[in-house]
Amino acid sequence: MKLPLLALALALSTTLASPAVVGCPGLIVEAPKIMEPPPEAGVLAGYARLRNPSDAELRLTGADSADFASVEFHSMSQVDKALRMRPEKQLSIPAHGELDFSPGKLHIMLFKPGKDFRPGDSVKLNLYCGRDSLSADFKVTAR
Amino acid sequence: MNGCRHWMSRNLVARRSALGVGAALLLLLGVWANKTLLAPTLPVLESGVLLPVSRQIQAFSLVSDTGPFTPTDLLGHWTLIFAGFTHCPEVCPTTLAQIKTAKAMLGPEPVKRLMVLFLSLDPERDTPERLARYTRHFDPDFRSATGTNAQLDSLAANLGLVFLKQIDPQSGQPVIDHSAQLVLINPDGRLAGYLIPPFSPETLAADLKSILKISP
Repeated sequence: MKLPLLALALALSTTLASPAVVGCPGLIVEAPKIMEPPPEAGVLAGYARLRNPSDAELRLTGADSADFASVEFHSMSQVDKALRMRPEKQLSIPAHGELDFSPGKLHIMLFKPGKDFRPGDSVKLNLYCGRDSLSADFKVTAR
Repeated sequence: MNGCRHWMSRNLVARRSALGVGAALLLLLGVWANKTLLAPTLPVLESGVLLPVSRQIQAFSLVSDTGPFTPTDLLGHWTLIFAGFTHCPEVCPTTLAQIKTAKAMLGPEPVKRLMVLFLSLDPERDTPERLARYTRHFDPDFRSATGTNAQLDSLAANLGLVFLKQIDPQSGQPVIDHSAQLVLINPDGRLAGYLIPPFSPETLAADLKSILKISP
């Protein structure tokens, strides 16, 4: 009898101690775009500003698209005179905060396009926050 | 008497030799002064630096879609080199687009004295033909070249560029960390300076205009 109560107490205390993480439905995707790819480009870059209007942290855990073999989040930094890209498995958007995918910082990497894209085309991207997801249309934009 | 004449003869030879050496030294000093002290003052760039004295580039042999690309191809014009690869999603296409926009601001005459070269660090995927199709998307006059990994290592080191190839653990695809600065080669085919990011087409154009005014 004491063990289930203890487990319940622990679960409640954990829940109360750390802020809840909401699903994607609360997420706002602003100015989503994919830069026009040059011919032979095997990887494209996508940008957007993601806003979390909720009172809880939101955690972006992945993305995919029917138009690409795979989609990843990448950060950029300068290390020893070289620009370094690294995959980010999860990205956090704080309560009432923003996450900015913009040139030179974070970008969405879209691998192996299934077709040629031209300015004006639209690409549907699914953004995942754990088990929740949100779809957004990213417009292919001329450089 | 003979001993005295012999001494005088030897002394004359020594003096003539000393004069010859002195003249040679003066000539060398004059050449050095002409190249350094009397050389035209180099412009101050908004987004880069010109080397006070240009540096020799070691011999190299690359390949382009039109055939070999060697130091001879660098002669007679300024060359702007950007090193990257076609699977680079952001920095490479962005930089090439910025260079294209800057080049369009130069005017028809200065443009004739400039060549832009996209150097691929990814010869496994960037064949010369693929590379050329990618590069000419930005500007039909942009050149491109690549080489063996050994050639690229050597040339990059000579030009002061760094790059590192790794495999992205998630996608399994090769990724290349690389320098983003632009290398300036003067019409003598010598390393003359760098343009350093972040770039804007306006500052690139201003710097290129300054560079293209430098007398050979």
